[in-house]
Amino acid sequence: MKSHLSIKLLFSVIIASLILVPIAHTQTPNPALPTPIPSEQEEFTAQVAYKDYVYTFDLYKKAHSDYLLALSQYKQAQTLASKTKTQEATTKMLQARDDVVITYLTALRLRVSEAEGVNNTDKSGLYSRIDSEIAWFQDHRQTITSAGTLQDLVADSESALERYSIVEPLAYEILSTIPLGKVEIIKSKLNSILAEIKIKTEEIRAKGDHDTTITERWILETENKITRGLDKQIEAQRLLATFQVSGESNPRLKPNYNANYNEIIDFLQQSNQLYKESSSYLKEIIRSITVTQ
Amino acid sequence: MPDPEITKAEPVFSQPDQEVSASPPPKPSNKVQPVHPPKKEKEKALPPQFVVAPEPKTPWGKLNRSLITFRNNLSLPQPIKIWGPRIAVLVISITLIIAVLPFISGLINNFIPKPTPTPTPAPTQEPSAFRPSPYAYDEVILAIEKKIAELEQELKTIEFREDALQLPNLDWSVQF
Repeated sequence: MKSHLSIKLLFSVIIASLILVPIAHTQTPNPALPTPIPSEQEEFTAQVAYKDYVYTFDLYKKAHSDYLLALSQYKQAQTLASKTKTQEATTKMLQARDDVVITYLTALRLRVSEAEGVNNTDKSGLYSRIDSEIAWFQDHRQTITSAGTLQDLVADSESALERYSIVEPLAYEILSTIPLGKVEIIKSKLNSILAEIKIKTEEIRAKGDHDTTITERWILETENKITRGLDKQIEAQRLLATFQVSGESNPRLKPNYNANYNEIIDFLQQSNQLYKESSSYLKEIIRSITVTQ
Repeated sequence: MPDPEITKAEPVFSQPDQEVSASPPPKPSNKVQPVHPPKKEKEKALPPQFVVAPEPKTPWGKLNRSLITFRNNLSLPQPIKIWGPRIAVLVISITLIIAVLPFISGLINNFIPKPTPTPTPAPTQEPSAFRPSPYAYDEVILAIEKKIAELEQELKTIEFREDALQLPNLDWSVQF
C-alpha cells in the first residue's frame, strides 16, 4: 500500500513538473539572451520638425477635403445623419488645423534655435512667444471635442482665427529675424577682418618699409561701404519692429505682413550687396600691402 | 621700154563674173596674155590687182601659182567660211589652257614666296607687374587673405528667404 502511494506521488510530481517548467520558462527572461534595446530616439532637429509639419499638413488637407464633402452633402440633404457627419468632419478638420499651427510653430522654434547671428535675448523672447501660442492651440484643440453643435464649432474656429492673427506676425518676425542674423554675421566678419588689417597697416606704417597711403585710402572706402550696408540693415530692423506692434496692439487688424516681409528681404539683399563690395575692397587692401607700387 | 601688155601675166585675183575655163592653165611664159581682159581696157593701165606676178622660180612659188590658177579655173564661189574647225580649235585650246592652268599656277606658286603665318601672341601678364612687397608672404596677411576668400564664398551662397517655412495656407472660414 505504501509503495503504491509513493508511485502515485512520483507520477504526480513528474506530471506537475512537465506542465510548470515550460510556463516558468516563458515567464522569466533568460539572462543569457540579449534584451531588446529600445531604438535610440531621433534627435529633434529643425529638419525633423519640418518633416512633422509637412506630414501634419498632409493630414490636414485630407481632413479638409472630407469636411468640404460632408458640408456639401449636408447642404444638399439637410438630414440629421448628414449633420452629424458634417459635425464629425468639421471637428477633425479643426483639430488637424490646430495641429498644423502647432507643428508649424514648433518647426519655426527649432529653426530659430539653429539660426546663427540671432542673439540669445531675441531668441528667448521668441521662444516664450512661440511656446505661448503652441500652448494656446493645444488647449484649443482639446476644447473642440466638447463642441455639441455646429455653431459651437463655428465659434471654436473663430476663436482660432482670432489667435492666428497673433501667430501670423510672429511667424513673419521669425522669418525676418533669421536672415537678419545671417547679415549680422557677415557684417561682424567684415569688421573683424578690417580690424586685423588696420592693426597690420599700423604696424607697417610704424616700420616704414612700405608705403601705406593707398592701403589707408582703401580702408576708408571699405568702412564707408560697411556703414552703408549697416544703414540698410537698420532699415530692415525698423520694419521688423512693425510686426511686433501689429501683433500686440492690433490683433484683429490684418496688415500686409507679406509685403513688409518682402521689403525686409529687399533691404537685406541691398545690405548684402554692399558687403560684397566691401569684401572686394578688402582684397584691394591686401593687394596694396603685398605689392610694391 | 617693153610693152606692158607683153609683161602682163595672169591676174592674181579673178573677178566674180569671170568665165570659168576648163582648160588647163597656160604654161607660164614671158608673153602671157591676161585671161579675158576687156578689149577696151587693153590700152588702159591695168589696176594693181591685175599686175602680173613675176614668174615664180622656186618650186613652192610654182605650186602656189598652179593652185591659184586651178582655183580660178574652177571658178568656185567665194570660199565659205567654215566655223566648225574654228570652234573645234577654240574648244581644244580652251581645254588645253584649262588643263595646263593648274600646272602653271603650281609653278607660279612655287616661285611666289608663300606668306608664313605669323604666330599669334598669347596673352601674357606683364612679367614685371607683380613686385612683391616685404609683406607679400607675411603670415598675418596670408591668414587675412584666406578669411576674405571664405567670406566671399559665404556671400555668394547666402539665402535670405526661408521658402520652406512660409505660412501655411489654411481654411479659416468655417460656416454652415
